[in-house]
Amino acid sequence: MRKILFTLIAFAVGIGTGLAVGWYAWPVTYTESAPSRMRQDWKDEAIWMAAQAFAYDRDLEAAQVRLRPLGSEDLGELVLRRTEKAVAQNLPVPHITSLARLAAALGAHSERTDPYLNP
Amino acid sequence: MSTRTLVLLAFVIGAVLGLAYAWLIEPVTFSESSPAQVMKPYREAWLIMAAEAYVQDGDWARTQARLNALRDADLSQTLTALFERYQANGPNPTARALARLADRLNVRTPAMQVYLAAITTPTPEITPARGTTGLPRPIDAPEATPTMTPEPLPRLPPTVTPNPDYQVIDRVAECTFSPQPPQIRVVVQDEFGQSVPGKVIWITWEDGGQDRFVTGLKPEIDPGYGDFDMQPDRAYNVGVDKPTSVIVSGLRADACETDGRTSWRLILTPRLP
Repeated sequence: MRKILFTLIAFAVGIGTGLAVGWYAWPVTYTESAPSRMRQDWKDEAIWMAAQAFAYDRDLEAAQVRLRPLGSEDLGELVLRRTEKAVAQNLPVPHITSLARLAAALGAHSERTDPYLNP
Repeated sequence: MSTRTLVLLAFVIGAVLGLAYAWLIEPVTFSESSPAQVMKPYREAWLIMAAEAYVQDGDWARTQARLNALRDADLSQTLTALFERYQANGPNPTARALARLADRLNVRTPAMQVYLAAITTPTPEITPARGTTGLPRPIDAPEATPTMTPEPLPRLPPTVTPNPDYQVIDRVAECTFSPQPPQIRVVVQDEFGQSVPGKVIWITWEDGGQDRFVTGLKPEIDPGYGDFDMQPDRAYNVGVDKPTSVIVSGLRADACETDGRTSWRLILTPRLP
């Protein structure tokens, strides 16, 4: 009886140890995850970079290719939300302008962002 | 089987099952990954966007943060490979931005130097002849970033002055057959005979026309090589750095004895004092 009890306890401790190692100490690391899984602040950065890149190369198709992996169906809305966030955060005008212009190029604008299209 | 052995065996089996569950059946899922963890194509897109944004705003601190987010231990290699892939399509803004970023990171290849030379080469100052009005240069470029696309050049009569800095050490006529156009093929070398990429070669012709190209865009031929397609009815002059500094003049694409037209191969080196 005692032998079975010790065996069961050891089995349970083994499972606990395996789970602890597999989840916390040495978890599975994903090196090829989808960009849509990026943290929101990285997504914000990516949208800003896409807007700056668009200001540089004027390549709307390239901008769409860069934004699409972020997981939004409506790219215009995605950039517009980021633009309005930049307005709310009172970020520098050139920063907002590049975002507003990309949003407009994607067919999205709002009263809050329109003044930044031609500052 | 002893109790100790049985307990140890139960522990090991339990640990293996626990690990299998944690790694294979219900692994930790990250919904908040970083740019370093995303798929390679998007990491490349991130690098390109960082490069273009850097050229756009010149914010190096921000660019460094963006590059650091990739946690790429061999960023120089990644950047070089990406540049090579883009520049293979011919001059384009992305390759130019990557070259600029690489230069900022002290990474330089001959092909990158061509782009950098095209960026930093000042626009030649052409003084219009008396009574001639030069065409204004278009200023509709949205950014301060110069472009490698040849700009429309003012058609002014060239004032030929000798260039004391360069000389022709080899001049060979070659026959080129259709459909290949006859060409002026220039290799620029330094005083030690090493090919020099990134040199601006000016081609002028008699009715005031002029054009330019940069050596090094065809490194598969020679790192210091560049060429220019000739028209059969024109006499061309070749200069280095400035359109008025003519080193060779009167190059014509005359008909060869056999079929075809004459191309010219020139090797230019700095003139020794």
